[in-house]
Amino acid sequence: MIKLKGAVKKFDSFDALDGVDLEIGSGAAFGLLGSNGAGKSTVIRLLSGIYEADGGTVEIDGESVFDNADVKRRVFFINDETVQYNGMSLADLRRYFSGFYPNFSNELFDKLNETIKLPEKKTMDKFSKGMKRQAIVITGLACRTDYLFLDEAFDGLDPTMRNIVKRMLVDEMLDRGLTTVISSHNLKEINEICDSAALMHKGKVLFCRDLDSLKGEVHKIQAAFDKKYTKEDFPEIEVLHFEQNGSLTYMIAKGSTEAVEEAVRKKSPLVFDMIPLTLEEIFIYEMEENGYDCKGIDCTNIG
Amino acid sequence: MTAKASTAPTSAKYEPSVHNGLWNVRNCMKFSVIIFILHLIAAPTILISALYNITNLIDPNPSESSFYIAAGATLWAGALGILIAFFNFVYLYSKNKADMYLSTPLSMKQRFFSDYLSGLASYIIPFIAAQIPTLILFAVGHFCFDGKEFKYLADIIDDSYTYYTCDFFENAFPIYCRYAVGGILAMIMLYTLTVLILTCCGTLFDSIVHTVLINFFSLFAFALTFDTIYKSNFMLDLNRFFYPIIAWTSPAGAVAMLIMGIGDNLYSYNAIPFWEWSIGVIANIAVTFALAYHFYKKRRAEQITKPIVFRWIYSLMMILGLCFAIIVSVNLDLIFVEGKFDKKFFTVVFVTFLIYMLCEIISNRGLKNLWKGAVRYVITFAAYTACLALVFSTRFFGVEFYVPSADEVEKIYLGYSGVYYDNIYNTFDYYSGDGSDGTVFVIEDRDNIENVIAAQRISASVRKTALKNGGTDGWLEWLDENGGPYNLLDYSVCCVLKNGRRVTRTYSIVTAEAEKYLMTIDASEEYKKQAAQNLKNRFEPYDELYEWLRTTQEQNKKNGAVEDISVDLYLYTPISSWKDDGMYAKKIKMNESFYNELRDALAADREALTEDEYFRPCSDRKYSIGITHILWGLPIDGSWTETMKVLAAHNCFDALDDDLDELLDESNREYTRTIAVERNSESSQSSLLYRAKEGVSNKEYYGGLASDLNIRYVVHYSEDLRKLVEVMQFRYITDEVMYSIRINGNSYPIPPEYSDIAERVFNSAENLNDYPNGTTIYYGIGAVTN
Repeated sequence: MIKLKGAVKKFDSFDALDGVDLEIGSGAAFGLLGSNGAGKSTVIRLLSGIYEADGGTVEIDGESVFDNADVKRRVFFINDETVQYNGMSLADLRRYFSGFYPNFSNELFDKLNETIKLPEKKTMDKFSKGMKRQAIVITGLACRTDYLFLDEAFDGLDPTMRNIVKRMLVDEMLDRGLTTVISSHNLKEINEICDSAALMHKGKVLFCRDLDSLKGEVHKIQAAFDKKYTKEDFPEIEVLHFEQNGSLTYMIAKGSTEAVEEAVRKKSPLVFDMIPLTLEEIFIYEMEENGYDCKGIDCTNIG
Repeated sequence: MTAKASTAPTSAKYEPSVHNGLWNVRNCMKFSVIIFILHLIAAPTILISALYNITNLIDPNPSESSFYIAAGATLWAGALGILIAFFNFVYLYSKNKADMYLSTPLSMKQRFFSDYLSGLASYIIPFIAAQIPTLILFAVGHFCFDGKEFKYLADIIDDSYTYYTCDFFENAFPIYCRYAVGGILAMIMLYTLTVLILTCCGTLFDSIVHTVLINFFSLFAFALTFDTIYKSNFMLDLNRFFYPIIAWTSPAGAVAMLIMGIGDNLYSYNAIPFWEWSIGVIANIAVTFALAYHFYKKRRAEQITKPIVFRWIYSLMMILGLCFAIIVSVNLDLIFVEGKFDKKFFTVVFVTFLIYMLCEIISNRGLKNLWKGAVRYVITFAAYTACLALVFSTRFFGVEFYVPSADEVEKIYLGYSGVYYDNIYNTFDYYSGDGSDGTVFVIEDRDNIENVIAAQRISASVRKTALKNGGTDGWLEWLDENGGPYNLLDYSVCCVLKNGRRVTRTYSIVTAEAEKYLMTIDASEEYKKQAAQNLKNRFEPYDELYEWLRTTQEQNKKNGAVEDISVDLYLYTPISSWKDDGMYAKKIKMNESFYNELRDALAADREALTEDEYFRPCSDRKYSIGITHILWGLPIDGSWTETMKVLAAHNCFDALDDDLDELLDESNREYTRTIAVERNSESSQSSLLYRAKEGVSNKEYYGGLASDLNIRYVVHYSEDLRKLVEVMQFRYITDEVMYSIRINGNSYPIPPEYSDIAERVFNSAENLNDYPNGTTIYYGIGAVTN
């Protein structure tokens, strides 16, 4: 179980995290979303024991992470850089990390490498970016830690590489209940891998939700009515967004599917359609509800 | 999904911190190999060169070039320790590496010790491994070459060589041990300092700059300051205080002091005893290590790319740098001129302030907090310059004039050659003051202590008055014009006080009054005994001396000279030395038995001489003796009874060509000679000291000129002249004004009881001033103008 309670992190005068509360259960695949500078990487680094929180607590399985070798032995961190491995070969990676992680599995390492077939003796400065990323992912998985943290680890990978890496991750998550925390700009990826996510903005968590329930709660409605209605005409449901374009009405409403459908049908629509929202749309509307104008955020970086 | 519990450890072979350390060692292997090779070039090269030299397999002597190669290799190998520290602690300045290293499951303590110790191992173990061939060479030298001669280039400028008999385990091995142990400590010191700097800086650039500049400034700021103070000649034993500071405050200083003090037989004095050096260096390492660990624990990953994480290191560098700039300016006379502030001082302020502020802007990456830098500059500049001004204006707080009272003194180590300069004392060993080998005299007799203190008080008082009136640059001239001339007699005093403190001073000007006190030492039993031992110690073992001569002879043969190898006694009287312009002496070969007998006799006689016999030798049986490489020109007379017996037993006086009649015969044209009588005055007779010196005035005084001497040249024989020649002495002490007789340039004092005879001869002799320039007046010939 990962728990951040009131976590604060400052870099000089800049508040990177401003009282972050998060709880991530064991075995979860958790996504951290947010624009650049939201604080995602900071959270990941706090959890990896690289940073020390300036306030609040950061705990894994009830123990503080920073300067705690026992806890860190259960954690593997993959960041978005690959240049630090340039002088090392795959065999070196294996040798290096196996010395730190007591559960390191050479069999798993070899099995994973069978899929991607990376040369063991060649130094990684001769690898492509994707190959380096694969190398460190299989190393991280082979360490067989309880927790795996990835900070924008898929950035720069082509679709095929992404799929390979994602498949490896998912297999391990399913095999042994690995808890994964993935920080990314890419909502689509989070949507595919994660079962819960948090959206961060300016050092705060805007919301933290299970993705399925999140999708099940918010609906997009397209309907045509014989007369004009307003948002207030639907008091039974929570309308997040109401827009009329000629005879067509677009609504984003929160609530159960049955309640929303019943509320709309009461108005005898000529045309009625309920469309599932993308994660992006859910997040945009949630942010609006929380008082954050999407225009102030670089939404192009959110998927 | 639920998390599974971690399984029991399966694949880790070592503890993670050990694994990390071994990984570092593996990564630094290339450096370790280079260090090993460089150290292999060092000590073994010098030893091989020595062995070659001994066996004369290579000629000319390669030891100096091999020394430079070895020194260069050692310095390079030493510098690689900095690289290893940078390698092992890369995550302190490289953001790319930080995530990888800091996320590994090690606590900060584990990581620090693992990285520190593994780096040290990569650095030190190659050095230790490279000593194995050195030890093998020592063993080879010990079994094959002990006792053989090898030569060492003593002076690079005039290409002079010194020869040593090499006993690998007795002579060279102690030096080697100091080099090995000291080298390891110096390396640890450099490495630890580099780690400290890395913990305090957040970028590669700042880490490099601070490493280079702190190492440079910490040595040169101190060294130049001490050198500047030393050159001001406050008569302090600055070495005692300042050399340890230099050794203990920087790795470069530690290495410099280690080299200076590494061996007694290769260097003229110990800058600082090795044990003292080691303790200070170890203390420095401990403090630096503690600081490094302390700041390492405070370091945070987010501080990488911050130029200076802990500001004190930058402040330290700037303080040292500013002090260095100031002291360089002082040496260039840009701040003080003749003890006063000079107007060029403002230029120094302007330039240093500008540079200081530029550094502030660069380190702050902008203009913020610039005012703090300005305040720091002002405080540092003012404080340091004020300290220097205070030191110079008060002449180190007047401490050079401090003389302890005799009651406070337990004993004195006295570096004093004796009023007749008979006693050699090598460079004054301030530390041990151990007089057992005759280098200094140990004074414990209360009367002697009081006399030494009295002499010191006078010397200090004269100096103080001269400095006050003549200034630092003109005090000698003032002395000369006011109450001079003075005797240039060096003496060094180390007073060991009852409370354990030591007060050490060296004086080089001695007044007649001070000399009186010192002379009482000469005549004391305590001094005589040690002087006798000192004289005895000058006699090297006969076989070693012979071997040295043989080796020298072989070198001379190569240069075309042909000489016999023998240990010779040279014997002459004032009369026999007239021949060959005073160079004549009877040469007698000495065998080992004769040599040892003479040595023992001289020592016994020296100890037995009474005050009168020593200061006022008797008129008959006057000789001067010298022994190859041992001594030259030691006057003896009938009072040296044992010596006379030994010389007589070996027929040394036989056929000594000292026929006075022949030499005073006016018609004898076998060689020309000049005989002059000098009438001294109280002003020209600087002290009570007269001794013969070849070719120069016998008067040891500062600044005195021949115009103070009245000299007349004797042309014709007289009985009075004969009497003077009979009674003249090599040396004499009296408090009455004496005449002296000068023969072929060598002056000999005439005891005062014969002054009336001397006056008669003087009055009847020729005055050179009555003749044109270029005239020489020869005995029996008269004036001859060239």
